[in-house]
Amino acid sequence: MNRIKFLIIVLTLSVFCSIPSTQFISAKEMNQNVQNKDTGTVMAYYFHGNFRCYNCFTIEQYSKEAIEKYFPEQLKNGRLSFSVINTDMPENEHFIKDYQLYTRSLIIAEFKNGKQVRWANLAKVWDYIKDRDAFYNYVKTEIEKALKGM
Amino acid sequence: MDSSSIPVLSALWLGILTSVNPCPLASNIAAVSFIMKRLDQTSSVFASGLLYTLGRVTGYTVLGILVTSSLLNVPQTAHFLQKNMNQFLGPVLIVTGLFLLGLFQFTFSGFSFSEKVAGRLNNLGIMGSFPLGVLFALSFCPSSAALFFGSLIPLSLNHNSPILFPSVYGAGTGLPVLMFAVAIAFGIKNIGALFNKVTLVEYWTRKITGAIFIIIGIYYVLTHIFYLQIL
Repeated sequence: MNRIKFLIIVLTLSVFCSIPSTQFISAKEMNQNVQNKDTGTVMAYYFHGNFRCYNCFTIEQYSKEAIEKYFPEQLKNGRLSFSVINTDMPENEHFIKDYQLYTRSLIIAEFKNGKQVRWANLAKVWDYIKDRDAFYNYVKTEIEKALKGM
Repeated sequence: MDSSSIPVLSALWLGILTSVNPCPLASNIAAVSFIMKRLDQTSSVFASGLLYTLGRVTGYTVLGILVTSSLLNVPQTAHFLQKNMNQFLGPVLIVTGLFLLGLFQFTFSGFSFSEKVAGRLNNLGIMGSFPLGVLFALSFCPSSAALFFGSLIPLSLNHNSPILFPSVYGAGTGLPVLMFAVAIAFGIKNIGALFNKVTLVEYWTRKITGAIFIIIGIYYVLTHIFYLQIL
């Protein structure tokens, strides 16, 4: 009988203890967690070095503009983000190996449950430097593909 | 250009695209001035241009072989060449320019080398073009790295051609520079001949070459060592 009483107390305590921890997670965090688990996130990285050439600035600028133009919602809700990273900084050198970088590059990486599942080098950005619309469309198409793949 | 039907021409086209790109413009200007330095001898200008192109061909071919045979890792090699070679290039160009102008003097055991070195560098007009071609070929800038590592190397691998394609690409990068240098040299020489002052023109061309080397060397030091944004 005492054993049953002890078990009931333990179970009751454990239920009460678990309630506050759930309540402390905000609705936004819950939403984010669900989204990360179900739909994942897409990261757009523009990698450059200390030396910045004219075309390198153009690629960075067009990439940012295309992403902000076509994916404002996804940028807001965290499904997509854009980062500019200098691979000449010692802490970023690992990206050279991670994404097999051989020049300034725009990389689209897909993450699910906190793990990277796919990535692609948008190497044709170099071909579209002189055609802003073609550049935008290329970035748009590739990011749409990545978002659909989530 | 259809790369599947005429792949060798694609390699040549990629080389031409590399040389007309604004990114390696500074090194191309230095190359043109170096090639046409001996414009008193027309055959020297042409031979110098050919050797410069051969230097580029050699640089890209050796690199192409090492990369396609996986002896060198593409990302690390590309990163190393873009960063270190350009840092090395600046001081080399400045020192060469100073010697060409005869401004760089140093003595060793009471003996001045400046005259000897300057004279040797002037005579190096032909032979010096070859190492200059190799050096400039391996000093990758972002757009030439994109064309070489991103387009040329995959093309070579697809066609199982680790020597021919990089060689043709190298020729493509050197040809516009060679043609430009020869055309300018002929033009200047003819103008000089018109006024019967070829020797004077030739003297100034050498001085201008030295000055161009120093200016471009300073540009490389500022942009690749101090990372100043100039263009």
